[in-house]
Amino acid sequence: MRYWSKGLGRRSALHIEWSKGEYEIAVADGREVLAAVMPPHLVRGEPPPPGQQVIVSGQTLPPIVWRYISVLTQKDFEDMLRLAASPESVRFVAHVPGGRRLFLKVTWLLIGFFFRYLWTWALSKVPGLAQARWPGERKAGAVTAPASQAAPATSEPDSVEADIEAESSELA
Amino acid sequence: MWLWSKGLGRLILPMDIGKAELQAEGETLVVKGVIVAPKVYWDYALSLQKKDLLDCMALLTDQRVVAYLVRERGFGLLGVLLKVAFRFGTSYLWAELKKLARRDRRDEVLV
Repeated sequence: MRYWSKGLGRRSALHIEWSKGEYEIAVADGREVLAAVMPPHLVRGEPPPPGQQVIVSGQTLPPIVWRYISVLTQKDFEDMLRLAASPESVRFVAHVPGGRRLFLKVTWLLIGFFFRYLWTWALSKVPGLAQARWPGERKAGAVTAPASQAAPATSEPDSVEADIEAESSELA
Repeated sequence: MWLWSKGLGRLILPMDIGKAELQAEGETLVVKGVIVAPKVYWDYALSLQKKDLLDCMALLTDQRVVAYLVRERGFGLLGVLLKVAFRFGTSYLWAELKKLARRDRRDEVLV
């Protein structure tokens, strides 16, 4: 996608690519991530709310190659969904060449998102699977139990985790 | 949504996508909005092509994003999703039917 803002001045638009492999994604505290690249007092306007957000980072594509970081909250994802279903968006999908195929692909992704969401929600409700609940975060080390609270080492949790992991990767 | 880029100067820009407007321009869907912050009132535009639209949807289905949304919104987002999917599906079918009706009318005129 091409991003343009008045703040870019006479420079042309930034080309931000969100296809797989072109960006990094993480769930972290947006304030901390932004504070690492910019002192908090230089942030104009409302900073991200405290707590975790989705961080999408990467490099813009040539001719202007710059590192970028975007912080997305759950409201942004809801807004994205609402925009996708807005009349203007539907008109675009219906009239663009290859629109039917695009409609089918978007529908397929929405169905995939629905079932993945339902599955992840159901997993979060199963007691005893807290460690297996968030595979992405577990890999990043975000969900770690203190040593004092850690469960005794048995083979059972591993097998449950392995099952969940396998199912998650199947879904992926 | 907050965006920082090396080239945006010493700024982190807040963008409220919910207040943005959509405009179809040929094969591009343009999201237009305004970045409002102290001493900043900048227009911005995100131009999306078909592939970008699919990439955004694919980002939504990333397992880490799904896990984050489940934790933040719980079951409630499924209601929003169903509403969005229903509106998207019916509006698209309506647009397709209108296209077909227009084509039939054009054929009748030609005959």
